Amino acid sequence: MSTRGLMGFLRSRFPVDPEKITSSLNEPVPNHMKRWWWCLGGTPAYLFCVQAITGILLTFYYVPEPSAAYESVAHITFEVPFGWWVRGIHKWAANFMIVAVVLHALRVYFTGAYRKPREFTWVTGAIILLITMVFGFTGYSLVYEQLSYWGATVAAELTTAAPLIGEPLAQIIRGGDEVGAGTLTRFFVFHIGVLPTALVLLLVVHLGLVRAHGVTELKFKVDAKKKVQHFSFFPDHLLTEIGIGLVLITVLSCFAVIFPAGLGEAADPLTTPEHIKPEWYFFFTFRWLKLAGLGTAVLSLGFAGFVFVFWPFFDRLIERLTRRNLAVPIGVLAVLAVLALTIWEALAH
Amino acid sequence: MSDENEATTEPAATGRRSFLGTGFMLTGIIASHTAALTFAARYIYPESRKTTQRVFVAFKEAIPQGASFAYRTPRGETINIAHTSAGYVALSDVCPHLKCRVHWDRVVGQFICPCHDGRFAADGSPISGPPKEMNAPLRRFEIVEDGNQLYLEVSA
Repeated sequence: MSTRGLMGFLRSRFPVDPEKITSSLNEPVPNHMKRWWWCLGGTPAYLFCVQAITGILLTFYYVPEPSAAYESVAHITFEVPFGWWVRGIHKWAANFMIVAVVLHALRVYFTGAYRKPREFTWVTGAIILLITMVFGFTGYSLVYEQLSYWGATVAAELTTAAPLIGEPLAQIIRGGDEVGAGTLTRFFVFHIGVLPTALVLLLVVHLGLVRAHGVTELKFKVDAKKKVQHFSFFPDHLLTEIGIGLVLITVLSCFAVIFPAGLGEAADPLTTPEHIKPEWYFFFTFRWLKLAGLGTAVLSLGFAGFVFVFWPFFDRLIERLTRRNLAVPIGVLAVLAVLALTIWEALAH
Repeated sequence: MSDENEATTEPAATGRRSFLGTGFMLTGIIASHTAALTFAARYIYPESRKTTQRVFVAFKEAIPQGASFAYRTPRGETINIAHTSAGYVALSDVCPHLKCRVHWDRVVGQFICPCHDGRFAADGSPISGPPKEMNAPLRRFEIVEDGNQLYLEVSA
């Protein structure tokens, strides 16, 4: 079959005009996005792809069963060829992804890019950040070492403090009355099935809204003098993102070699270790829990999470009530509080 | 005249039929999907096994007054059994705060939870930390004395 014949065959079977698809995706990108630090939205998207690929590779050997989970992770890390590398990339990409999503959220927040009409772009993005943290938590718990086991136990118990839905939610998370075989299976299902599906769906809505509204235009003095204020998504911006991707995979690979993913003691459900700590991105919640007590901590964190997700609407409400824009001071205070609690917990024994 | 009546009533009848049809269809869709979601939710929600069983732990003469020992239940919970002047006391090693395991510190004579430094007296009452704030003691198990044998009621 000739090339023309093949193209004709494909076009008749897939009656879609490629030019229409290209023009609908090819949004005009403002000049300020030529700077890489404005591309932090694309960075976690790239890292998510890395996570999906390395995650699929890890499931070839991982066994989600209490008596075999730790051994299977040890097998991946120490025996499977390049297992240490795949696991190292997966671990570091998870940490980088959280950093990238947080930085992206901070950039959007402090530039006021969440305001009308982009409220729901923020809402979907904020939920994506929370899902990314749950991804990290469930993934860490799958290792089934002492710290991850007791981290999961404490987190499951925390949910019981939530009013009304606390106990049923804890039952669903644990898969029973206590952390055990049911919990590990559920965390595995959440980690490889429920969360990726939710994240992809939210990402589609998030990117669809970004495309529909266009990127918020930030005017820099340097750009203001330029005649052309936009550049093309294809291939200019895509190439920038691919360039960032190449740098990221190189840095991730270096981290996987220099700081390889280790393995602590195997989980012992009968002995709680002397010092337990969650992953660094939950330090602030853990410290807050120690300071405020169980009930207050869970309720206040739940409320803070709710305000964070629906911030654009709270922002407008505060502005209406006070007739002042307090978003920046509130944001600075929140960031300082989270940083202070994180550092406090990191330095504590 | 009759033709005019037919012309005015027919669209109304069609509208009612259409409304009823759409209504039945929507009700069916909502009812069937609510049922499906309910079944799915019930499927995900785990069975709670709250049954207990009586297990033999020791002969009385094996625990003289002032002595204690740790008994491990079939489900893996450690229960500290002591023979005090007030009789036999059985305490769980699960901290009531966030379900971490407490351990007995001989030096200070207290049960200590490593997670948030909760402390309990020998009788299980909270001394400091989150358990004290919650006023939550270590769980007590009932000890059944049958002749010279001691039994515990534990989760099956």
